[in-house]
This record gives sequence, structure tokens and C-alpha cells, in this order.
Amino acid sequence: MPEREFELYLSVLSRMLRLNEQQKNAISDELRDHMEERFEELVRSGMNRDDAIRQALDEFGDAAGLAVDFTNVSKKRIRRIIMRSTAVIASLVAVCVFFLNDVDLRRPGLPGPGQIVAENSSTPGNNSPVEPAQDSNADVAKPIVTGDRPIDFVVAGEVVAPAFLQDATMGEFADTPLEDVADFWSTLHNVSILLDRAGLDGDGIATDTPTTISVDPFLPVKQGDKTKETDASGKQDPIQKNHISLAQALDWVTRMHEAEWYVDEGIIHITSRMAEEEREISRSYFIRQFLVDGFTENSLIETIQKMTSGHWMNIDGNGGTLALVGDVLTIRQNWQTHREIELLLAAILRHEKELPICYPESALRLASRIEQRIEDIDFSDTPLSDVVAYLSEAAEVRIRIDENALKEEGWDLDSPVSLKIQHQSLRTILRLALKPFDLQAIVHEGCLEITIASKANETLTTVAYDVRNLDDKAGQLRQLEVAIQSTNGGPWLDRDGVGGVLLMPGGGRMLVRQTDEGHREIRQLLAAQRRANSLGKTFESAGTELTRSTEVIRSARRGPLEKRFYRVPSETADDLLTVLPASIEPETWIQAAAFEQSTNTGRSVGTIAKVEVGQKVVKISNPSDDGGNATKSRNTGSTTKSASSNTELLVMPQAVLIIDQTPTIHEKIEKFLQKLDMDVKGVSLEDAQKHNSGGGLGGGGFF
Amino acid sequence: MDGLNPELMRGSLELMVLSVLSDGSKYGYLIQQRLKEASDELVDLKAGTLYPILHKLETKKMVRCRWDDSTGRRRKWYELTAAGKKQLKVRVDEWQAYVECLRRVLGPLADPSPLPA
Repeated sequence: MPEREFELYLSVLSRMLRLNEQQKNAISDELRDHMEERFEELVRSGMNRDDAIRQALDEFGDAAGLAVDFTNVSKKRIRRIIMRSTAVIASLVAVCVFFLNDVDLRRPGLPGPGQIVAENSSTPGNNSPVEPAQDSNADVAKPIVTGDRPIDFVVAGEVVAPAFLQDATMGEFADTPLEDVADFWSTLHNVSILLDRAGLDGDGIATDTPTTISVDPFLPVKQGDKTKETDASGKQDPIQKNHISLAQALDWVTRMHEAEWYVDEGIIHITSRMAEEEREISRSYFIRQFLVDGFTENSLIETIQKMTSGHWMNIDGNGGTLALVGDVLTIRQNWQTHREIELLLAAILRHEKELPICYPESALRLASRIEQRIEDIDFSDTPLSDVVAYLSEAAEVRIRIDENALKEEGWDLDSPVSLKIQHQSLRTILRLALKPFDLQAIVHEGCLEITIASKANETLTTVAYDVRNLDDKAGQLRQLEVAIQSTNGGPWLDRDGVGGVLLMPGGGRMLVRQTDEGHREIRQLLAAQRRANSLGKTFESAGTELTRSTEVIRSARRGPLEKRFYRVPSETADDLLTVLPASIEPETWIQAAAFEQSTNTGRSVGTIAKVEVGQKVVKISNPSDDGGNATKSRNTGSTTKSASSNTELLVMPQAVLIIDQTPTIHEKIEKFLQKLDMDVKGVSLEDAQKHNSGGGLGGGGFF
Repeated sequence: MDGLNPELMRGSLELMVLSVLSDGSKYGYLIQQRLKEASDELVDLKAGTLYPILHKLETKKMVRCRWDDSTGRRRKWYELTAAGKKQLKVRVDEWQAYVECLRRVLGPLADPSPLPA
């Protein structure tokens, strides 16, 4: 009974066709006839049923795609954006076939498409042949609520972003009712997507609002590369690396309708912005690792509140609240803000040089792609949509057009563009091409997007920058902050009352919420700074480790420890035991190491200990006389005065400080002792042996 | 399309489909099978390639189609229109001229491989 599998396939295909019902049915009927005949023949030839279904469907991967292409043939001059390439659609549908085959193979003979999808959720995706789309299906097949929690700082509360949100999605809709779009993705991803009718109605959004969106799992490719893209081996990479996730697609669709979405117990809800904002949930975040990393409780809370888009009771007078108990920060906020918080915290922990918190990978990739150069641009009254499609293919990046915004300003996709230029970056080309319309191309929601200038200036994204290379002590962070705020066009919230925010919350991070252009300027400034710092390092190689105090500590700790003996008067030795570790690089000492036994070698930090070593006899009346200078009486513990002819002898109890430290610290100790008027040299074990019983030890300097 | 250079094939797929239809109406699957047989399995046109070609020929009015429900499922039959027959003739002539031209250009290089007359 292959009909069900074929029907499921054909229904998916039909949704992708931009044709009227009659045309769709005709294509379905024709293809069904072919599939069934092909299936029967394959079975007759001895192939098993499952393989025959797969084979019959496989051969149709391309048919479906090209049937979509045929949509364009029959509609003549359809000018849709982005998905123009037949090869792309062909591959897309081929993936769809794999997906459906997978469902079919695991659960043959289920009653109907809807149930196949629903019941499949309890079947883990194992032992199926590995195909790119099956991987994502395997994720979908896991029970949703217990889906992987990729981030370990959430200690209580619902999973905000279940793994299936990251699955690759696709779909091509032209004036399709919103509910059908939801229905399609629901089927494709095996999750429930519910439309909150009441909420949407309240905001004047009908569930059948026409929706036009193209979610193409493949990057646009250059004309010459199309064949490469369609063959079986070539299609894995693009979808793995450059896919559009379900979350991204939902972001696009809801933003288009000024609606919002959230996930509750594994079910995706599409609702009005108002309804989503009012639906607050509590989650607890474990913040110890951020505190260890250099944040304070306050700086972390400030970061969370200022770097996300949610409203807060203590700032805005309405919205979310926070409560800190020990290391657990409990936040009550709406779902979307929790999603942002989770992304923000994850981005902070990653310590990348630069990491946008939303769709970080796509955004970073775009940031570099946008700088690549394109040859031979020659547009002459070319419709904007064609210009965008051309650039999209030439640079192999997705470019979306915010049509709603364009309409507000009276532009449409046919607006003519003229530009003739050689060998310029995509950024420059777009800037020049869009300038006459006052449009801008920005990186937004993981995609390059063309929108009106006012929207571009309102669209703020948060990026976590790593500024550990800068010297906090030397005030470089503050300088950088000033530099950014003064050279950057802004606007800045704390200076201009509106606009972006910059925070240096500690831990070598700088967090900035700014426009796309603002981030570009910061990126340049930081690159210059890093270059300057690395140049500095080569000139003063010895001084590099001084750029950060902790670096000093680390290198001091890492350096080889060396035991040296300092002979000092017994009465000052006790003071020095506490004074030295407290005064010289305090971080490098093991505290309270006041006993002989603590001088073991092999420690990673310094130790100091005192040993009483008897007494020293000093001739007071004639100190320059070599004869008695080094005289020692080891067995007497008390001070005695003895007189002999012209000389008065002072017998002083002696002690030796045994200090285990790195050479750098030893030098500092000696300098320190000199300042105390104690001309004491640290003597290493070898030296001491050389000089036997300390001929050179602590000669004078006593009072 | 194993065995043959797809680049070479691309330009003549329409011609092949038209030629298969020259001896009577057929439906998609049959056209596919006929092409395979006639070419000793060298031309194994994927369904995904065939149907768009058929639809294109239909819009260009080279073929007309009718639906047949007698087999229990709806089947779409294609047959050549007068314009299609005329087009086929033109394309065959074109092709022959092209082959001749190519043979002359290649000269001795083409000799080792026996070309169909």
C-alpha cells in the first residue's frame, strides 16, 4: 500500500506549488500515476516494498522541484525573491523526500499522514540509514519536553529553546494563509504549532492572513555551480552548515505579521505580541560561573536587563522581575526575553572574540561574506528584486527584503536600480545601490536584510566582545568605552536618551547593544586596538606579561620555585614571616606557612619559614676587624656580653628564613630588605654549600 | 543519464520527447520507458526532468493532453499537435545538419568511433 507515502509526499509538494487548486490537483494526479506504476514495476522486478517506495520517491525529488519551477512557466513573469534557482528547489524537495522516507521506513502502514507524524514522536531515530535530513528528524523524534538542554546554567524552569527549534526548515509560500504555513511546518517538524486565535484577533491578525515567505535551506549558488549543488553528494554541506532553523523561520513569519511566538511544553504557539509579553514564566539561572569569571552580581543583572529587549519592573515600571538567592538568579519574564537571556549567557561563557547573541554563527559568517568583492556590477534600471537576486547569487549569501517596510516608504521590488562599478565589496555595492532609496542592508536575525533606514537604526542587536587583551589597570577599558561612544555614530541610551548600550561588566567582556552599522564601527576599532596591542608586544616583549596583574601572578606561579636562605636577626624574623608575604606579591604565597615543615619543594606557590640557628657574635667596638666577624657560637641560645682587651662582643640569636619562591620574587624580597636597612642576600642551597657555614651570610646592617 | 554527457543531452531532450510521441500518444511513464529502450538504457530520463519538459511542451502547444480515467486512476496522455509535428521535423533537420557539421569539423578524430548514419 504505497498510496499513503505517496499522498504524504504529494501533499507536501502541493503546498509548495504556487498554482491554483485545479493545477495542483492535475500535477498530483499525473505524478501519482507515474509513482504507482513505477512502484509496481520495481516490486515486480523483485525489489522489496520499502526500497521500491524509496526509489520511486527518489526519482521524483527533481520532478517536484521542477514542477515548482513550472509554476513560473505558467505564471510567466512571477517576480519572487530569493528562490529562483530550480536546482535549489529540486534539492530542497529531495531532502523532503528523505525526510518522508524516514518516517515511512520506521512506521510502515500507519493510518494516515497526520498520525504518522504524531505517533512517530515516540520513536527514536536510530538504525535508519544516515541522511542529512534524517539527522534533524531524529531530533524531532525525541520526546520534546526532555529535549537536550544545551546550556547548563538553567537550574529550574521550562526548557526555553527545545532542540527541535534548531532543526533545518524550509518552505515556499506565496499568499498562503498563516494557518496553512503553521500547518506545513507542524507536519514537517513533527511538532504542534497552535495559532492563538483570540490573541491574534485582538491584534487584528486573522489566522488566514496571507503569508509570503521563502525559506530556502540552501544558500544561493553561482550560476555555474548549480549542477554541483544538485548531485547527491553536494547537497549535504549547504544544508548542514547554512540551514535556516525553525526558530529563525518562526521569527521571520511572526515579525512579518507583528505577532510573536513561544514554546510551552513542547508546543509552539503563535500569538499576539501583547499576549506573549504578558505571559511571564519563572526560570532560575545558576550564576556562579559568571561570578568566578569576573562578573559581580550587580554587573550580571545589569547586563541581563540592559542587553535584552524585555521590560523590567525596576526600570520600566512594568515587566519582569529578578530575585537573587545565593548563586541562583530567578527571573520572571516572558518567554522571548528568557530566550534572549539564555543566548546572552551562553554567548558570554563562550569567550569568543566577538559573538552576536542571536544566530551567532550565521551573523559571523555574514559579517565576513559581506566584505567579499564582486566584479563587474552593471545595473541599468534593473528592478530591485533582480539586483538583490543577482548579488545574492554572486556573493552566495541570503538576502531578504523587508517588503512591508519598503511599502511604507513607497518602494517596491520593481524600483529601478542603476549602478556600474568594478570590484567592490558586497557592502559597498549594496550601500551605493540602495542609497537613492534611503534603504540599508543590515545583518538581522541571521540574515542579510534590506530595509528602510529608520528601521535599520531602530534594530539593535547585542554582541559580546572579548576585551581581555586590553589593560584594565592602565585604564584602557575606560578609554575604549569613551572612544567607542565618541567615535560611534550612536545614538547611545545614556548619552542621547535613546539608542544603544555599552557595558563592561567584568571578566574581560564588553557587551554592546547597537545597530548593525554601530557594531561594524566597533569591530573596526577593536581590530585596530588588537593590532596595536600585538605590535606593542613585539617591541617590548619583556613587558607583555605585565599587561594584566593576574598574568603576573600566573607567570610568577608558573616560574620554577627556588629555595633561598635569608639570615636575619631572630627578633625581626617573626615580623618578616608575616610582612614579606603580605607586602610582596601577596597572591603568590601560601599563607600561614610559618613552620619548618612547610618548606617542601614542589609547591606551585611560595612558602616562607623560619629556623632558629643559634647566635651570632658581633664585635661592637671594632666591627671592621675581620678576625671575629664571622665567629659563631651555635650552642648558646642567649645573648651574652664578653669583653676581651679592646673588644666588646655582641651575641645575637639568629634565624634563617627559608623562602621558596620564583627568582623574580626573590629579587623583590632582597630589595625590600634593603629598604629596611637589612643588607641580606638570599643564598641558594648551592651557594650555601660553597661557602660552607655561610661565610657571606648577613654580614652587617644591624643597628 | 549514466554514460552520456548531460551537457550534450540537455539541448536535445525536447527533441527526444517529441520523437517518442511521433508514433502515437503516450503518458509520462511510457515516454520514459520508451526513451530508455530506444537508447539501450543510455537515456534514463528522471521523472523530475521529464515532467517539466512535457509541461513546457504543453504550454508551447507542441503537445496536447487528455485525461483518461478508465484505468482506475487518472492518467494524463500526451500527443503531438500539428505544431509539434512541424517542430519535430524542423528539429530533426537541425540536428542532422549539426551532426554533419560536427563530423566534418572533427574529421579524422571522429573516425574511430562509429557514428550512426
